[in-house]
Amino acid sequence: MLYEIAKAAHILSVIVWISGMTVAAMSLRQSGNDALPMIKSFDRSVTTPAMLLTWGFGILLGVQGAWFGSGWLWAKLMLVIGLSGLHGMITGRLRKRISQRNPEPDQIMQRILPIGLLLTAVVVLLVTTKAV
Amino acid sequence: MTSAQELRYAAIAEAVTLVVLICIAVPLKHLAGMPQLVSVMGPVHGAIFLLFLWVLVRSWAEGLIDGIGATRLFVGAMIPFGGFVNERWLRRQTAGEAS
Repeated sequence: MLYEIAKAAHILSVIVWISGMTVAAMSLRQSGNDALPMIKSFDRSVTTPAMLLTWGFGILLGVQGAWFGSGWLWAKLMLVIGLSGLHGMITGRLRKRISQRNPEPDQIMQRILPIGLLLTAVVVLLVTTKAV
Repeated sequence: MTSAQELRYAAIAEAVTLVVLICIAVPLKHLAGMPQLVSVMGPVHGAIFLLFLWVLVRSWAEGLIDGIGATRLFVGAMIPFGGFVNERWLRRQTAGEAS
């Protein structure tokens, strides 16, 4: 039962984390800075805690289910590190743009979004098929 | 808390958990036959290391440190006690950022 609750909490955290990250990346693609402080605040109070909860519940599930001997989990962990890196990059660029009061759209976000969605898709594929 | 302080605290946490894992938990497992601490500290250090990497990437993207500084911190995080040396370096580097 605890495993199932942890799994539900893990999935919920992932949904909040990825959607928060997507909103932040989309906001950086727009010109102007009006909405950015609100996005930064949301990221700090919701998206980043959701990422931390994703890690925490993920590790709990890995330990409880004794999955750490499985190849698919290690492949998934690498992808999660990549996704976390993307989130760190988005948050850093968000903070930089606010502090520099730079209204120009962040062009790199056009590439970040599909990369993030691709990583998420492969993570879901790995965890559902456990193929590796 | 400033970004610089968050990076320093993450570096310290990563360094402490690595030292506890390598210098206490692993010898206890192999020399005293007590694997319990490794089974706790392994996942804890993994999570802290991930957090450190996240803060490192964010600080680099924010312009707090450059690519060479980020590489130095990353490599130092792999070496026991390296994180403590890097934390002192970081404190000097970010002295102007309200540390």
